Amino acid sequence: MSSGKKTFLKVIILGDSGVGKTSLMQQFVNGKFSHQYKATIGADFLTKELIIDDKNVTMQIWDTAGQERFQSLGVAFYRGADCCVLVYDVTNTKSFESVSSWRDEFLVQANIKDPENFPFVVIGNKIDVEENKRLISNKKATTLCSNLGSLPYFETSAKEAVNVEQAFDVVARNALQQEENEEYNEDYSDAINIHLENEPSSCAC
Amino acid sequence: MSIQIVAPIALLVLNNKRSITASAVYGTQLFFGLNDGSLMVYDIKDDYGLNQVSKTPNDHSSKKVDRNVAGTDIFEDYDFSQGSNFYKFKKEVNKIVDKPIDQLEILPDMNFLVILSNGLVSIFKLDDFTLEEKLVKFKHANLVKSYSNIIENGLDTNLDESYIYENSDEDYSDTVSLAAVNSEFNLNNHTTKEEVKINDYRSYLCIAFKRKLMVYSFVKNEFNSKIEYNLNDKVKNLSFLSTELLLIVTIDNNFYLLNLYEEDERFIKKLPFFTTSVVNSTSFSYFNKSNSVKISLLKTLPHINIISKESVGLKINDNGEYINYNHGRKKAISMKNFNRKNPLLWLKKPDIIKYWFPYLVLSYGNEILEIRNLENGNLIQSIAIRSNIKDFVLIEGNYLIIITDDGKIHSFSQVTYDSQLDQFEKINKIDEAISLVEKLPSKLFKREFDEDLTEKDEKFLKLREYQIRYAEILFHNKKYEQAMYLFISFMAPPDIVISLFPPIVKGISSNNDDNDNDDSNNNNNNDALLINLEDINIFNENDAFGDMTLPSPISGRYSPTTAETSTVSENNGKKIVERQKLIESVRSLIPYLADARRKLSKLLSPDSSKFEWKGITISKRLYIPLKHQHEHQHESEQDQDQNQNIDKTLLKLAEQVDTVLFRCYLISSPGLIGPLLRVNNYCDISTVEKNLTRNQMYKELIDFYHGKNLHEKSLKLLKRLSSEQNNGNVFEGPIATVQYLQKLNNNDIGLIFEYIQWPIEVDYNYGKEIFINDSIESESLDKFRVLEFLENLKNISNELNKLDLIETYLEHIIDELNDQTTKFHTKLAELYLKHLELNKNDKEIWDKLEKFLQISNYYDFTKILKLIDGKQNYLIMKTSVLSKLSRHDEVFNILIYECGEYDMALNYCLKFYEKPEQNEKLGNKLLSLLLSKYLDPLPSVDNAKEDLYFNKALEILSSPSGLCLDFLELLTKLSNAKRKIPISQISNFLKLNLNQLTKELNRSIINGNSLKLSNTKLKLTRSLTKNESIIITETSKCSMCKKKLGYSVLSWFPDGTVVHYGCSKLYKQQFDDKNQ
Repeated sequence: MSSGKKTFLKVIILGDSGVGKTSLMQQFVNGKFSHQYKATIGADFLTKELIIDDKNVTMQIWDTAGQERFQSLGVAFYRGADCCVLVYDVTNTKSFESVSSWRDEFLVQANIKDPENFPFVVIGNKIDVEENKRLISNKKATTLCSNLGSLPYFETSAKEAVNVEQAFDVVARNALQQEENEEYNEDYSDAINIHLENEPSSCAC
Repeated sequence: MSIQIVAPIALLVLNNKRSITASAVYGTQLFFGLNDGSLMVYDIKDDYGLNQVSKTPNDHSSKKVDRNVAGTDIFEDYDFSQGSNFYKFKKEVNKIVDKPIDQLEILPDMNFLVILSNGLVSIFKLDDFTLEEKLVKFKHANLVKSYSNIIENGLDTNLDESYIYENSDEDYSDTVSLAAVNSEFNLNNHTTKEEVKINDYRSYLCIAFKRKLMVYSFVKNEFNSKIEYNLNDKVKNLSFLSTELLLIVTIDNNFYLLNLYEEDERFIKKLPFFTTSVVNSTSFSYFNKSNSVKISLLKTLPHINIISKESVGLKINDNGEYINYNHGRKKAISMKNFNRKNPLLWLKKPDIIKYWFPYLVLSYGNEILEIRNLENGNLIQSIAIRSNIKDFVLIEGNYLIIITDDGKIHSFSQVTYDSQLDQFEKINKIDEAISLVEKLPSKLFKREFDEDLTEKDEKFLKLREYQIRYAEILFHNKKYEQAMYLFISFMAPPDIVISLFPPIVKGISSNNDDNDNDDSNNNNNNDALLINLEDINIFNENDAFGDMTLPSPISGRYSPTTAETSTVSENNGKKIVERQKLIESVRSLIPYLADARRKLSKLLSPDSSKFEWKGITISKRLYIPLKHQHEHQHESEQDQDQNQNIDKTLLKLAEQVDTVLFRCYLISSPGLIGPLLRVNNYCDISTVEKNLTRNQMYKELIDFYHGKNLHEKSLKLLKRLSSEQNNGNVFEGPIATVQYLQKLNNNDIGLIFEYIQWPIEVDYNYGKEIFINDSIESESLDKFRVLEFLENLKNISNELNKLDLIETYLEHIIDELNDQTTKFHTKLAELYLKHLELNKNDKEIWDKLEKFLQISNYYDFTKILKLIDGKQNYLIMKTSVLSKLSRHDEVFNILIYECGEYDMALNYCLKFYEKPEQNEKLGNKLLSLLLSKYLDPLPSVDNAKEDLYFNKALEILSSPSGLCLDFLELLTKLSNAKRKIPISQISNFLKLNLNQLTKELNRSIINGNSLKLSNTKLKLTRSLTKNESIIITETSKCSMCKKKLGYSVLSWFPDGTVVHYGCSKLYKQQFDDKNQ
């Protein structure tokens, strides 16, 4: 890939309701944090332009409604995802336990061809809370991530902008890697390569 | 067989020799302009009820319609008599103009009939044909054109949003989210209609003359403005793209876009697409400068306009931009439009081309009329009229009026849409049927008897039916990608899609296809359809030609013998190709299945069994294929039953989808099996079991069992695997079983008990991992049952191990979980005792017991007391138990007389002072009791001991603890003691006490004195306050207003100042400021 060509990366954020998916995305893209909780409806995305190792990259970050689960999302949501971010809340045990099932759901729904090597990044959010409110230790989280296949793990605070940049930097790099791998794997997006017959590029005459 | 879209209605032959030179239509009125300048008006008698011919065309086609070799229908001999009353002569205005009428235009909202004749434009009233105005200014007018957005708006109502949707560029609107909220994307498409409302009703009259264009505009039936535009060349043709934009083509074949809202000519935009690169193929290169080239401009569906020139039709949108159906950026869009074409190609150049909803009608000079599909230009019907076609007009309500050279006026009507669809179906032109259904208004699809479904639902169902059929055709033609795209887009029922695949994928052998509802699927057949992963893997790596036993996917027949015996390489080569095909087809199926399972799970979810899809609310009833529904209707008319049946069908479909998805993963991406089986799924248990067992994918199988709550199966399997001796067996030994059991909770406590036995037999510590685990599952277990289970454990090699296990468990629930149940506390004490019986020297247990008896308040004291009673080595512990029972006397007896633990005895007393819940009195009482024990020992005590005790008593008295005792009571006690006490020996004690008492006395005196002092102080203050006064005389003045105080109401401030009450506010301010 030439460095002049603009690369388009699609990143999907998943996790239980209320773990801070939208906040993370807002913090990363707009540098803002809102104290009010507003449930996401359906799905929405924001884009951010990045430069990674001299490459111009447009990162499209898809945010989902955590309470919707997967049955609410259609084909277009998953199409061409390059990286998936799994978010949990360090003060919420259930959200932590859901991380691996979000991963499984994603793999099935997105029809990932090479599930072992698809890039996931795990984020434990809300580390700004007092220590006694924190229920998931760093150790517990890293153990889970290594069991799921050495997934990169970050502890963030969307509220105080702690570690958010760093986490998304890794997300972007891994997504870029994935995107480049795909380019060499023609088989990936087109299982059957059928050239549309009688379909001229612009004019049939 | 060709299609018949039009059927003849009536024929009108004009009597005289005059010929028709212009025609126009308004409502049901037909206007003919003649070569002698006369105007004829006919009315169409529309008493056919339906505007379309309801007969099926086949009824008469066999008798009346000839068909020439090329498949063109020839209507000449057709009997038009049935429509003899069709034309009703209304009026003839003789010589309304002097010269032949060249063009007729109607402006209904202004009540104008515009006639162009001999380069002159005249305006007549539409109702009585009186002259309104002669526009003498334009002596060389060559074209007039009227436009009204009321008519445009009326046309729009023929269509509904579903068609507009199909044309929209964005496909995110419905495919990103199935949530029951309308996406914003959809809203954008409705703006055009809104605009009409905002802009009010507008109409225009355009007159082209020389190199100029005059545009009159009318707003709300009133003249608004006239603007003259200068152009580079004479106008050849023009067409309104919208209320705002006018497309003009000039004689030199240049195209211009004119914005009518801008009065300045500078806003005339030259369109590039015919001259430059947009259409750069040869087809347009012959667009020469010839004046004779005819260019037709027509408005068709909303946002689609056609420019027809020579034998090419080019579609442009309302902004004058070329419509590109295959911009490759988004595959979904080009997929959606794969049946649409731009530009369209005709056989040769048409003379006239018009849009006749929903088709294009073209006429060629040589008497041929063609009906073509708007989307792709495909020819649908060709009609021969045995006379030159001069013109044809289209009347609202599907009439087509053809005017021929020889003064004949033929009228045709479209046959009913149902009949058109029937014909398309019969000859398998499903794409044409789709094209038609897409455009038809929903109301045509409403079936009276079904009240549950809206007309929009019905249209969707019809469209879905055709799209699925079309997708099946595409699939059979090996256009898998398009087929799958349509299957997903129109939610094809899974059973239909799956049935297209070979048995190895669908999991049902072909001879079972017809009765796939049969629950007792032949197991033997299914066994043959097991997928062997190794074969697939070998294939995937593309490097092996070994013995592959995969059944042939294409033939659909499994023949193990052939496959197993064949070692010939050519066979293998063939198999490789077949497997490549298999994997490809499987990969095209997977996205469909993933989508179907998402939709099914949405429908099956209890809280929201509906979702929005392409603007339609998809309910269970709408999703389930029709054939299933009919079955159910026969079974029972009752709604409830029907709903249950629908649920059953949905569940069955969900099972089919997940099971086939499982098979697909097995064939093409085994890495996804784990994720699929771990999430909520409806996979068929036996299929999964057999396939995974065959491929030894035990980890996935165990995950699957776990998800399905088939724990017993898991545990049995794990037990079996644990003993299998082969390299790399990750399930060897009890660890896997233990880990599995850790995930179970109290609901499966029976299974836990059953399957933890064998690991415990291997190593009793595994028991701890289940019952003593810091997890929700472990804590949920019924403690009584666990204890019972542990107590009844057999086969533990060493009784001490068993004791250790139970003790650890009880310690865990008592210490960690703070359980206060007497049974557990008592049990633990009993076990410690038992443990010590077996191993007297176990210091650790001894200490534990000792501590436990002291600390715990929940064991059965009496029971434990009984157990240790009379056992010499437990004497000290016995005191702990006795103490719990408040039998302090006995405690002292043991400590003093039996054990001689005097310090312990003293500490025993002292510790009661430390405990907040015990009052001091008890401490005092015990200390006193202890003293009595020493001073009045049991009679049996010998003298030496007596001395000792006496000394101990003295020690207590001399120590600070002695001070705690009540002095008077003690004195009594001492004087009553058996032994007389020399004062010298207790002088210390007495001194201390006396000191203490003196101290108390002194303190009281000081306190008394200080109280007296403060009393005197208070008295002084009182009298001072009482005496405070100020004398006001007749001359005393207010310090604020300097007036006499007199007898007014006064305010007296703390600083002694007296002011009027009225001035007090001011003074208070001053006073406060001063103080600050």
